[in-house]
Amino acid sequence: MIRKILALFAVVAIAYFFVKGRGHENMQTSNLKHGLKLNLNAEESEKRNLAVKNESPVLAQVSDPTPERANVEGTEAAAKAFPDALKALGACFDIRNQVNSDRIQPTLAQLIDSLRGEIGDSIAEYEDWSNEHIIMANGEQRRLRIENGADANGIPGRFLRYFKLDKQGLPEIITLPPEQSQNPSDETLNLLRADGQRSLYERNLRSYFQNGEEVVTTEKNGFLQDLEMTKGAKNFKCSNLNSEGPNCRCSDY
Amino acid sequence: MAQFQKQSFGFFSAILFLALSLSGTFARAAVWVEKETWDDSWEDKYSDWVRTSFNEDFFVKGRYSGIATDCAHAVYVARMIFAFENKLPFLIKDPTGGSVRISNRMARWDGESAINRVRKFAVYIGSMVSTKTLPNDTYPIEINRKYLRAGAVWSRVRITEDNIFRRIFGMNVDADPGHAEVVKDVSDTGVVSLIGSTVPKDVRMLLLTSSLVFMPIEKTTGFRQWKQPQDYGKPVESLKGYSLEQFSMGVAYNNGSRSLDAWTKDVQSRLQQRVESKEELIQRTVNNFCSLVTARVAVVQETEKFRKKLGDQCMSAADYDNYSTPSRDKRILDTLIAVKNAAGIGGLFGPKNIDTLYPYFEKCEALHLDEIYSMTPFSYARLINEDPMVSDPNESMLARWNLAPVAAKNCPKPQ
Repeated sequence: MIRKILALFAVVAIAYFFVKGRGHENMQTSNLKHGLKLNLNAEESEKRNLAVKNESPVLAQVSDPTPERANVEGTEAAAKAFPDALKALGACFDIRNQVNSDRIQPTLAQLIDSLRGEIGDSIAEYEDWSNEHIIMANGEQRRLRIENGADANGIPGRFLRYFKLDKQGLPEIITLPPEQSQNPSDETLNLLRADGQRSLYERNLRSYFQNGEEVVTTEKNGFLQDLEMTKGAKNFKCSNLNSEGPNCRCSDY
Repeated sequence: MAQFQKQSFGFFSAILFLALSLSGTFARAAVWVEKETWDDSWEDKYSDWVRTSFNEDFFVKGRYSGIATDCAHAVYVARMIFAFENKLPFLIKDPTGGSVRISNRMARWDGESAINRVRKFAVYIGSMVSTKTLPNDTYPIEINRKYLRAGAVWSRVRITEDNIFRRIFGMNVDADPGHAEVVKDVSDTGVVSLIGSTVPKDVRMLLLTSSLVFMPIEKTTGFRQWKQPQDYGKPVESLKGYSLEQFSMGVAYNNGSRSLDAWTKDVQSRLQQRVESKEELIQRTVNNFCSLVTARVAVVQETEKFRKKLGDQCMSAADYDNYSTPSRDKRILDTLIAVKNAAGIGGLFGPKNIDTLYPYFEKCEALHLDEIYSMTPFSYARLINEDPMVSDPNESMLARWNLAPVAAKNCPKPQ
């Protein structure tokens, strides 16, 4: 009798693992079948990058990440690659922007320094959005997203959204009262940050120059990630600037 | 016997445990499981679906009624619902900077019915997206009938060239809010019909217009196409139909400056298969006017409820801001001017009387202002052709429709 029960249990167990295994296989097959492999690889790659950064005790724990304090090892290759991106930018617009070193950190300040002699300083700057990731003292993660925009009547303002993360690592909004979400004060922001530590800060910035040049940048932890500059009828775009292999492209439009 | 009972108990516990585990496995069904893949053929079907099925009453009647939307949200949800109905993947970038993408594979609502999962996912998408997230999930396209067609996205973030110049010359910034709509159709005369929601977020009839109202300047704006899931991570320049040409179209002056009028004409001429007649142009702009005025009814009704609650009190700055309608009203007035220009009776020296336009308004539905009052869009056009529109939410409903004099309530207007 016991043997029969054990046999039955074994059959059920095998069936269970078979179904579970098939489920996993089906999902992988489905990904391939539906052309999602590339995308998932990109996600995995992003996760890996994030994991590497989080392993760095400096970057994971700083409350205000700056280029100087970030993972130097991670940015050395980027510093070597950035001068080439600046040269490509100069060639694209046929300008003599300064590239005085073979190692330049990919930061907004360095970009503006390089361009100053040709297009001057920015005359207007506009931050579209920023994201801040906070690891709270109890280990929970919170995110703050601020969008600069206008309300229904065109009145400009800063709009804050506050998130916790679910089991899948996806943000779940924590509703804030209007007095906190619209034009939040520093006090409000500090209250939401509580005693947590900032693990990521990114922002998107538009800079405008006197002859109509537009430079749009995305910075992550103080380093440029993406850059798009428009001057006249030319457009120059770079992505992955904080890496050894940024992708840059010059085009007419 | 006792041993057998103990073993049986153990066995059934194991079976129960396995059953629960298995049911748990199957219950983690995601919002929906995709069975298809986005490709050109599905993009064609999406385009057809928007043209035929994504109509003004989409969120007030039928399966998806009751979903509150604002402009960007409605654009995302249209794509999401089509994906759900056809078992396609839906995936967008997490705008909060996370590395995990938001997709139909979210497990947050497991255990709910299929339609509830979708409705909750739609609400969730609304809490995440805005006009500022659209550049993550869409890209600018060539201006031709192949890519600019039903299903494409028309969007702008808040900033405009005017604002930049205001900033440059130190003037106050008076921004236009961001906006986004779905291209509903492109006619043979090259007219782009747009369908969309508006702010504040609410369950509402969608608005159908053909007025473009702004010229794209920033590369994050303009006519755009959705990225397919497999496109994320690829350079946008490599995606089908990618182009920046719309940002240089509309040159109106010798110095290379662009204008909205020239840009709109450029777009239309690229899309048209035949020239739009004067009659068609007048009728189209009148239809826009009627749509915009019809949408104003619900907004003023909502304000009237709130105003009555307040009694004699003036609205606070925040309430005034929420309930006033200057942007909406400016668009209505601009559209009336466009009607007059199309009919050749615009400009400073044009006739004040617009009665000759009456036949074009005949098909517009009456405006039911409340349980008692109704008026035709043409009557309202006549009124605002003579007197300024009333956007002040402290005024009565009748005053807001220029049917009664404005009250001397002396409420301060917030700056």
